[in-house]
Amino acid sequence: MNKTRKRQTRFLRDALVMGLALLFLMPVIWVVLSSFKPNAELYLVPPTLFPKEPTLANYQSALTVGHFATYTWNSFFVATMSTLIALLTNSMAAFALAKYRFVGRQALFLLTLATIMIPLQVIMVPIFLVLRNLGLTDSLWGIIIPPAATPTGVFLLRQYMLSIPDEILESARIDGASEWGIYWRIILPLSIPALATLAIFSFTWRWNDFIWPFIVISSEQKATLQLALARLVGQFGVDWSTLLAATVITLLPMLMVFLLLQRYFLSNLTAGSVKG
Amino acid sequence: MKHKMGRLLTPYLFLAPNTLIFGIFVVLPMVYGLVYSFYRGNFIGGLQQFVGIENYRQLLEDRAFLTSLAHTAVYVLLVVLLVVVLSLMLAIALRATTLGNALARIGFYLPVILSPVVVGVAWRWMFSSDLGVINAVLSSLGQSPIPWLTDINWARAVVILASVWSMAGFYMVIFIGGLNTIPTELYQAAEVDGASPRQQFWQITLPLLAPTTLLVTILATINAFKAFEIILVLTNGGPGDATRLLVQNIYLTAFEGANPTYASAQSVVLFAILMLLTLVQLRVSRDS
Repeated sequence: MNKTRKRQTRFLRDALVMGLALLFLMPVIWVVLSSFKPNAELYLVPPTLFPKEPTLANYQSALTVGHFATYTWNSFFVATMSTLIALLTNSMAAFALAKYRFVGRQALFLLTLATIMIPLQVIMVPIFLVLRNLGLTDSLWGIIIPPAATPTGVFLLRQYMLSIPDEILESARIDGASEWGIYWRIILPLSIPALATLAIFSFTWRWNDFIWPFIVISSEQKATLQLALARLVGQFGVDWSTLLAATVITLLPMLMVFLLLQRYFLSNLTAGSVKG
Repeated sequence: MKHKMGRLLTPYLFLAPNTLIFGIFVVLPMVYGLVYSFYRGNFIGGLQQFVGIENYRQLLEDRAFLTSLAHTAVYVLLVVLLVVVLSLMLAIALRATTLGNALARIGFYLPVILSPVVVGVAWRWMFSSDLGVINAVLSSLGQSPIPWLTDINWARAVVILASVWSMAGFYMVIFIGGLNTIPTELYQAAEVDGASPRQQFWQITLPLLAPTTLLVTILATINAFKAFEIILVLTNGGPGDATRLLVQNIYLTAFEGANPTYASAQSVVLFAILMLLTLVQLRVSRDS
């Protein structure tokens, strides 16, 4: 008797928290639902919750806005390349910090930690000038390279590599492995869980990046999805039906990554804690 | 011997690529920014004249800057307060690992993975004065619509809520991690002693969670000071300059006003504030 009672309250409680979470998500859900409504239904009073006559017309018009395919490709290219560079350079730095004793190691590590706290917004102006001197303004590489040296990534990978026993490295050295070989054939394969975490976070950050392209990119052809979306909003008299569909297209890849790999996001990874 | 020299160099070689990128794109700009702030100049002609602390002196009389600073202070205070309380409440409510809690955690975390532009669009779509669903619901209930994004105070409230909404799930996860480090025996013992849930919260949870709370507060403060993108999309700093914060003011000064050196001085002030606040928060925690 008591047991069924307990089960009932637990069921009610679960239903309650899930209901609240759904309510919390209303702003996103509303965008998705609205994106399937024909223009006339979009502004109905009282509003309909679900589209009465679902349509894909908004998506058709979104795909024909400017160079939508180009924006999408740019976003994929930037997020992928920046993540690959981050994985390589961060893991190399992390390997050095975790597995070598050398002069300045402690200082470098502390410096890495401190810089997690420096937001891009603080160096917005001078970084634009640095990029301009290097000929990297209005270039995708201007938004790919600078954020790749994520201190968060170095920190995360270093913590993970510390747990790899030194004996493995020593015996590889005795067998004649080069230092690069040790890094490439032993450390990297053993660090795959941490690398995967960093890859997921890095891809998410770069896909969602706005300030970088906002400062660096000026031409239509080089715009990312985020930039194109913000420009759609900035236009005089927002075309909501198109904008909503474009928004859904922009958030969809991240939503899929998140739902498939949510345990990576929801594990308490304070190391990945700063959006970087 | 040669082998040994190589071994000594190895770590530096492994560090080189990351350090190079970092040096060129983070350290160098920081130094530049500081140097620029003592000059007068523009994007075309470069640095033109050393003016000492003139830029900083000018900031003290700059109404646009001081207003945005004041707006930022209020915004940061409210966002940090609300987001810490909300994420802590969520963490405590969803602490147990039941299926319902697991799904709810996914739901509350989801806004974190949305880009700030998407967050801005979603909130603007809900709160738009003439087209938004909130006002549509209000008017179908016979209420008069509220000028959410065109009234100074409502716009500020919406901007703050959107910011809190977008980050609460993130801090919730950190808080859950902190809660998991508190030994359950403490709660069992407290229960035996007849402590109420409220007493348990104040006597056990909150004190033992202090390091996590500090971490969340620092992260939330830094994040709030960085705020720019959501607001740009949601209100573009308006109505008037009611929601224009420091970062947007820096952006406008540098790129619309074509005054990079004066903007650099503002950036230095922002950086100094961030460092100072972080140090104060760390010191306060050490003392208590």
